[in-house]
Amino acid sequence: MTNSLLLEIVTPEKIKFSSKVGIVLAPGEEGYLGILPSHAPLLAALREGDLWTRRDQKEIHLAIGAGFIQVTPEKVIVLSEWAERGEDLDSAVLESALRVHEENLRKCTSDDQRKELEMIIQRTLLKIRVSKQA
Amino acid sequence: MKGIRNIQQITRAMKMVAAAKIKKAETRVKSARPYAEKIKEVVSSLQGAQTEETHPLLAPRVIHKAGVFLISADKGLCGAYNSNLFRICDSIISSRRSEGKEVVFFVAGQKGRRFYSRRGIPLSRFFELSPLPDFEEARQISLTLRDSFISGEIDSLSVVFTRYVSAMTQTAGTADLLPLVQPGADRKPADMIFEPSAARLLDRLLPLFVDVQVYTMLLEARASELGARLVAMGNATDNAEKLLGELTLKFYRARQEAITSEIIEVASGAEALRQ
Repeated sequence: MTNSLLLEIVTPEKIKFSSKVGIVLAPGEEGYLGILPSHAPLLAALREGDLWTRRDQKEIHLAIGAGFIQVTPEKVIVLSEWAERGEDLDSAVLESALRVHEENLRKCTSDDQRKELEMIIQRTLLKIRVSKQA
Repeated sequence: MKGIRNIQQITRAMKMVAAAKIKKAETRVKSARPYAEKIKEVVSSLQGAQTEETHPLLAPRVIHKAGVFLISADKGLCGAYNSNLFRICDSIISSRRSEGKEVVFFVAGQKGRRFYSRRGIPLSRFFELSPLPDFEEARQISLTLRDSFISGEIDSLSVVFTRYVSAMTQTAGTADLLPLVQPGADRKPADMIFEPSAARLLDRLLPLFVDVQVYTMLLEARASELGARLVAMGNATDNAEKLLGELTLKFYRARQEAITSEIIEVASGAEALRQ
């Protein structure tokens, strides 16, 4: 039995993360999924949210888009529309972007646009949260 | 000669531009591959588990309306890139028609649109492409294609595009996109936990699978176009060089001739005066 598992986070644009880790906590569609080495095979849907993992006592936070997670005893593959590492995110930049989006939301008139803006704001909030955890 | 030198400069510049862009496109193609492969893997692991009715994107039907999606370039000057595609596309269209199927035609890239509108083949939809398509863009196109399949506007979909092998080699070909062929359907059912149920996962995965395929096709097509342009412009630059050499030689010869005849004239004039 091994005490580490390989975590791979893959987006359509690139492999965002690939490393041995000790634990993964992923935002499952029906609640958070905690995965330790030797987990039973699992395939689950992920919602947009924060993913947390630990490598050599160091915590790593990521914001990820909706997708899937495939777990085998020694490997975890996360397929996600997008993924950002917390340390790459700049909360000051994000917060100013957030203000712009909120301003746009106040001014916006069409329903479609409103929905889209609300989604963007949620995403920005998520990224801000993750950037602060890093 | 000046004209040729100008042309050479242009072709050389275009070659350089293509060379610079191809690097970027190639990296995109390569980095998109793992995701596509992983998705395929996940889909095939679900196939084993799924026993209920087939998903609409998987279900084969009697084909009355065959969809053809051509991914061509926006611009020319890339050798036989577009004409190879048109040739394959023509043969597909005529073979589908000879089987008595109606052809519904989708095109991306200006060249394809112009070529087929001149030939009077009706276009169901045209997709504008950006210089380097991203996933979001591919998804919009894919969504349109999926919708027309689900709604019954088309019963199958073949894509005509150019596969990227390397900067020097690209092969134009076709791929059947819809209905989806079950990847590794003969696999034994995997012992796996599904959350939510396998059927619902499949509902979300399959459209994504199509999106990713469209995305990689668009990327490969674009990288191929750049590769073809690189080669074509390289050849054009070389040809211009050769032509320039020949013309320079001709020019010198003509000038020499003129000088020679002038000297003869002067000489014979002087000779005449002396007499």
